[in-house]
This record gives sequence, structure tokens and C-alpha cells, in this order.
Amino acid sequence: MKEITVVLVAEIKLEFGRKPRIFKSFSSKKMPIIETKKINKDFIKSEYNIRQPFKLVKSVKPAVRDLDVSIEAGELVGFLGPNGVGKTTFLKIISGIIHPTSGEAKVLGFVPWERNYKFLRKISLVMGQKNQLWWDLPAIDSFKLLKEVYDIPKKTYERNLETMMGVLDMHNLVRGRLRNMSLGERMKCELTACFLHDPKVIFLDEPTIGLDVTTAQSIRKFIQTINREKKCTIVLTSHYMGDIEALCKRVIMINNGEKIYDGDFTALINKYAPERIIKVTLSSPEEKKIFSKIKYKKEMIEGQGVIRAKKEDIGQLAEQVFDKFDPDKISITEPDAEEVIAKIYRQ
Amino acid sequence: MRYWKIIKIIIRNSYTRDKKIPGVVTANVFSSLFEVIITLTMFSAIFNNVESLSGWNYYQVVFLYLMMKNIVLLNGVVVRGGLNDMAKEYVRMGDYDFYLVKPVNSMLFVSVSKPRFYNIVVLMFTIPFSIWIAMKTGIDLGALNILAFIFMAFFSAILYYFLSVITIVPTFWLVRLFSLSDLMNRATQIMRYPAGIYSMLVKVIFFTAFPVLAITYLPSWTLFYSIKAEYLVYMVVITFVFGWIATKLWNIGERNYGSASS
Repeated sequence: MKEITVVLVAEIKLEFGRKPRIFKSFSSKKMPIIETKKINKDFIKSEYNIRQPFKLVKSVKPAVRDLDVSIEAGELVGFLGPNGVGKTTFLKIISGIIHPTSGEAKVLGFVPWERNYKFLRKISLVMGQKNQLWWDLPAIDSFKLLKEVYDIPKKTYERNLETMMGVLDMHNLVRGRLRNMSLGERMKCELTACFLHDPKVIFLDEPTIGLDVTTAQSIRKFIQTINREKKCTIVLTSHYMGDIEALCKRVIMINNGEKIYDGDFTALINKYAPERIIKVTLSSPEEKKIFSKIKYKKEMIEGQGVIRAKKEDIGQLAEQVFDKFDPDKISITEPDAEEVIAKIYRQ
Repeated sequence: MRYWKIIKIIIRNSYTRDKKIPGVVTANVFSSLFEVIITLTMFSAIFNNVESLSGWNYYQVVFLYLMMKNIVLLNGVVVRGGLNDMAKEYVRMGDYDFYLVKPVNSMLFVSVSKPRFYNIVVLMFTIPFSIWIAMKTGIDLGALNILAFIFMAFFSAILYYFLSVITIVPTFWLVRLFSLSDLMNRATQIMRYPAGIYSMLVKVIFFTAFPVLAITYLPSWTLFYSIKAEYLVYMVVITFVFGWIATKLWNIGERNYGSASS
């Protein structure tokens, strides 16, 4: 359990001719900024059946089941899972887009689906597969519209726009029409739009989907920087392991709408793949012979000797291997996170 | 004030976009004007056979039609485009998500999201034409009648918007109901003739339950005949009532919005 500190400050103000008023203010540390209890969402599908012309056949598809989540201010949490397990549905519930079938949620102290304007001014949403900016217009025109929508003071708008253009290197981009931009450039514009109003909580749904490696890396770097510097809370959904590995210390894994893991990402990998892999390039028959004599479970894959060793055995085993082979031919790696996650979902 | 600024930027953006695609603008302007010409031809054909429609002469009926056209075009400049795309784009494709996370009235914001700037070009023709037709009716128009007409026409335009919203709301439940956007266009056909030609049942329905007839008939009647306080009050009251109904229905529909999967 993480420490929760609540400081209650009570001050009494005396005013002539009036009863004393008590003002309470709470300053909190490590209080959850997003908290959900038993969130459920069922999608109801109605179908027309010609055999029963006056009746609609309804089918219920549960998308999210009893999801309890608590996220603290400043955290960057990744929601992990393959397509269709309920990540985006949950994100849409906590950003206020859809109503849950049952359950409670508080984000920044507000019930998200009540869509209080004070709440909406403090959040932002980016969807990797959808655009919120005007397709036929320069991005700057959409930014100006968002300035009015969020009622951003001129100085804040100009400062934030300048910062974002600098960080994302898009000075030459903002005056170009959105439809003439590449997917990566469009995503940069979407991210800029999302941060103009200094949101406290940002929901990112697959922000690197379809992007090339370099652009995906720059987007990840940007998310990291903004999370650190602006101290905002970021909720990220992705099925790209690269995003999660690079950005999230904490992950929440969802399967069939249910939470199956909530905790440290490295701990998750260690739990499900506690081994390390030693690879030795074997270029001569003598080396292969020496390799076959190593007393540990091993295999040969495409001219490479592969040993999967437990973490506690790795020191002793590495000593043996380094004694017998040229260090340039040896590599010790951690298991591929993507493989581990796939393994967990297969189980 | 903030909403005014938002609408101003959206219209300016629409202008910036439309001026780059003059072909689309020209085609839409011509198709709109062509519709006016065809309707006038039809009216001429009708009035070659009858002297009046329920006591309204050719120019008065044309004025009714032009008033309908102006209200539809005015709504088209600002709010109809967004509502038309509600079923096929915003709800079906899930683009409505972005409207729900903005700290503004989502009904208004989505309505103004796709203005059709070119409608202003058509209005530049139809409004002066309406004034000319009103003068040709041969009726002496009093200054007070003109003022009362402007007052009622203002509410008519707003009422038309609220009725358009009501026809679109079912899309929150029945996602692919594209024909909804056309429902209001069908209803406008009723607005172009004087109320006297309809049966009592039709009049009751279209003056109360779905008051499209009130939109054109009451202001035009006020302009050509006399100012009736009950008409003025009725116009204001039904605008507020249907505004309340539209907002309530929209909020209920919004609760049912399922968003599209990404």
C-alpha cells in the first residue's frame, strides 16, 4: 500500500456583522488522481430477424468487467493487451466519452461521464487512428479554434505552442495543410493540439500506431519529456511493446475486459520469464564440440548456441562460457518483452 | 461570447477551405439557384390554373417559399452541415468522441462543425429577391409589421435548428440511420404553402407536435396581415419549448453513445 497523506487546513475568517466562515482546503500527496471501482461495460447489439419481424434480437457483449484502477498524479501508466480486450473502452469511460453499465469512477475528483466543463478543461485525448484537427486546413487554424474552445489565455497559448513546436521540431509544419502531411507529422500536430491547454491528465490511445521507427521513437521521447516536465498524468493504451517498454514503469494488463496484472513492468517480465539468454556464435566444428560439453540445457539455432539460464545460475554459467569462447562471440540478453507478453496471453 | 468566437473561427476556417475548392462552391451555388428556378416555374404553372391558394396570391406563396429557403440556407451556413454528418460520420465512425471531451456544449459544437459558407452566396441572391417579391404582393407593408416579422423570423430560424436536432437524435440509438439527415428536408416541403390549404389534422400536427408550419406561416402572416400578440408569444414559446426538448433528447441520446472501436 502506498502512503496516503492528507493535510486538513482549517482557517477561520472573521468578518464584521457576519458569522465566522470555515474554509477547508485539502492538500494531498499521493492521492489517486484516477480511481475506478467495479467498472463494467456491456455493449448491447440489436439484430433484426426476419422470422420474428416484430422483435429485435438483443445480444450483450461485455467489454469491461469489474475493473478497479487507481492511478496517482504524475504517473505514466500503460494499458496493455491485444486488440479488442477492452483497453480503449476503459479509456473512453474514464475520459467521459461513454457511460459505464455499472461502477464508479473519479478522475481529478469528477465523475468523468458527467462531463463537467472544469473536468474537460483538465484532460486531453489523442487517438492514433483518428484526427481531431481540420483535414483541409493548416494545423495552426485548428490550434486557434482550440484556443477558443479551451478559453486559453493568449500568453499561455503562445508559450505552449512555441514549446511544442520546439520539442516536436515542427516549425515548418504548422502552416501546412493537414491532408498533405505524413502520418507522423499529423500525429505531431495532434499531440501539440492536445497539450495547448496544459491538461493535467492525458489519455493516449495507440499514439504510435502505423508510425515508422524513427517517428515512433521521437513521439515516445516527447511523451517522456512532457510527463517529466509538466508533471501530468498520462494513461497510455498500446499493443506495441516498444511504447510500453520505453515509457511505462507501471502496466495494467487487460484480458477479456478483466484486469490480469497491475504493477511494475520489469517485475512482470521477470515473473513470467525469469531466465536470461546466452548466445554464442559457433563458427567451427571445434567450437560446436566445446559448446556441446557445457552442462546446461541448451540448443543450436542457425549456427548459434543458445542457453536459457535461470537468473541465479547466470553468473556461474557466464564464467564457464567466457572461459571457453571469444568474448566477441558471446551475448547475454533478457527475454523479448513482446514474446513474454504473448506467452502470458496464450496462457 | 466564447461561442460566438468559436463560430467565427469555424466559419472563417470554412471560408479558407472553400475558397481553395471553387468548383464545389460553384456547383452548390448553381444547384441551389436551380432549385429556386424550378420551384418558381412550378408555382407559375399552378397559378396559371388558380387565382390564389387559400387566399394567398402568387407573390405571397413565392414569398413563403423564399422564406423557407432563407431559413434553410441560414441554418446551412452555420449548423446544418454538422447535423447532416452526425449519422454517417460522427456517430458511426466515432468522431463524436472528440466533441465529448471538449468543454463546450457538444450539441452546438457538433452542429457548427461543418459550416457551408457557400450558402451565403445563395442568400445574397434569395434575400433581396424575397424583399422584391414582398413588395410585388401589392400589400401595403407597415413598419410595425416588418419589425414583428423580423422578430418572428429570428425565432423561426432557431426553431428550425431545434427541429433539425430532434430529427437527428435517433442516430445515437440507430447508428446507420443516414436518412435522418434528410427528414428535415422532407418536412420543409410543408413550409412552402399557406396553412389554409391543409386539413385540420395536418394543421394541428404541424403547428404543435412538429411545428414546421409555424416557421414560415406565422411570420409571413404577420408581415402581410396584422400583428397578433398570440402569434408572437406562440412563436417565442414553441422555440423555447422545442429548444428544451431538443437539448433533453440530445443529452439522453448522448448517454447511449457507444463510440466506434478504434
